[in-house]
Amino acid sequence: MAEPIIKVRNVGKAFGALRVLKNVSLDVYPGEVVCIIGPSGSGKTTLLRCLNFLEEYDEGDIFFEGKLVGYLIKGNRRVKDTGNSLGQLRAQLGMVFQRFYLWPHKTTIENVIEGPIIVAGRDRVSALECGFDLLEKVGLRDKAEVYPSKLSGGQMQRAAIARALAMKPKAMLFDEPTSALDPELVGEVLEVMKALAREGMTMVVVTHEIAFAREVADRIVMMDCGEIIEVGAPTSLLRSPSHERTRTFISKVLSS
Amino acid sequence: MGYNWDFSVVWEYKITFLMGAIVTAKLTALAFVIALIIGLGLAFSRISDSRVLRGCATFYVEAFRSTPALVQLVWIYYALPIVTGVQLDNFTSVGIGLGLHTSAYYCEVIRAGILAVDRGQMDAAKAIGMRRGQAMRRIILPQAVRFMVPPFMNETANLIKLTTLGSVLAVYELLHASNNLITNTYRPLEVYTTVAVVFAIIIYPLIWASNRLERYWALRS
Repeated sequence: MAEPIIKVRNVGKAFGALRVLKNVSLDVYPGEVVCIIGPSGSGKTTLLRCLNFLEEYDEGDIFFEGKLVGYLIKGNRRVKDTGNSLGQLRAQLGMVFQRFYLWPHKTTIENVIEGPIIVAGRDRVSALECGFDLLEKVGLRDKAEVYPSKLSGGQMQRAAIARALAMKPKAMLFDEPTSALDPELVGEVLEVMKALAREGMTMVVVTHEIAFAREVADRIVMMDCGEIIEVGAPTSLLRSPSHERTRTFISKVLSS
Repeated sequence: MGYNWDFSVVWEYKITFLMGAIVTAKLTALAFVIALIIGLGLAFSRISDSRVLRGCATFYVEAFRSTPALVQLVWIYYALPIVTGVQLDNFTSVGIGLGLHTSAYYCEVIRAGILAVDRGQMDAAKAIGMRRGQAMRRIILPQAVRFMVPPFMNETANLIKLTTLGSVLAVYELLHASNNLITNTYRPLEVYTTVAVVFAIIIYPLIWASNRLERYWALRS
């Protein structure tokens, strides 16, 4: 079996006295789609944000393509990575947020090409070409010159996906990408994500969309109280979960 | 109520007002540049990860905001030479003093503007690999400016009015010139009314521009 592209080993994180991640370990393999589910406050988003060091984890290790995320080893000490290497690593790990976070003072196409030009140092012409292709791919070519305030929620999220893809990432992180959308807009975003999965993109998705997880995920991870309590293929975990807490959560979600 | 207004004396000494207004403008320009540069530095220091920088900047801001501007000017002109041996002329002392004083307020305006930008904007910038400095310049500050403009214009209007403190140190700005004029003409009401009008002419365009900018941004969003 291939080496995991993302390795999480015994990761812990606390906000003051509140421990939000406790001894979390997880492997994500290239081309795999891993969906993380669980109740609010279970640590799903914190774990996702630790993967690209938007949150600093306090214990354990996270590796991306074999490189330690967020820290450097100096002698026998571990120090925070404040240099360019963290930025380069983050560019390889695209992230899509629940609230999109498109930059409102830039048009859709400017949002998409900002990273390739400023971070990756590409020239504007080639960045624009790739940018328009990506917007075409997510169905927003005709909205390229429009400001985000003029887009619907679903369009904003698709633009945000295009912005992350513009950096040609090796993996994508999605933090509840459809939670802030009206129900009728959810489908268009999920279709884009399904297309990405079919193309073999490695994806870690925090989601409440159980149907999406069932259809697309290779594995589902159930979290509760800062711990991973169960991992399994969609068919087994959703149909006959072994952990009581997973059973309770899934039955509540499916009945609602 | 029996007072005979006579603004002809104001017109007769229009050059005096003009000279005073020019000195006021130069003083404002000097203080503004100092305040903006230092205020920016202070603002970034107050939001930096370094506890030392944050502490020093906070001390500076609270010290200058908690003490009267007049006392600060007098101290720079009279006490600084005693402490350091460096004697500045009155114009420079007032310019630097007002610059240091106003920088504390600019700092807070800039800092509040930056903090008003949704934290997710910085997260999105970092997530595509931008360094903090790049994200601040290209993503945060352009959005923060919108929040900063109204209070920034307010503080700049205050700075212009504070230049009248220069008269205490015999800087020949508009108020000092006007006081001399009153001594010669015995027309305080006319002269002070004219001073108020001149300040309004200087300051109102700033307020107008600020309002226009707010409307433009509101329409665009």
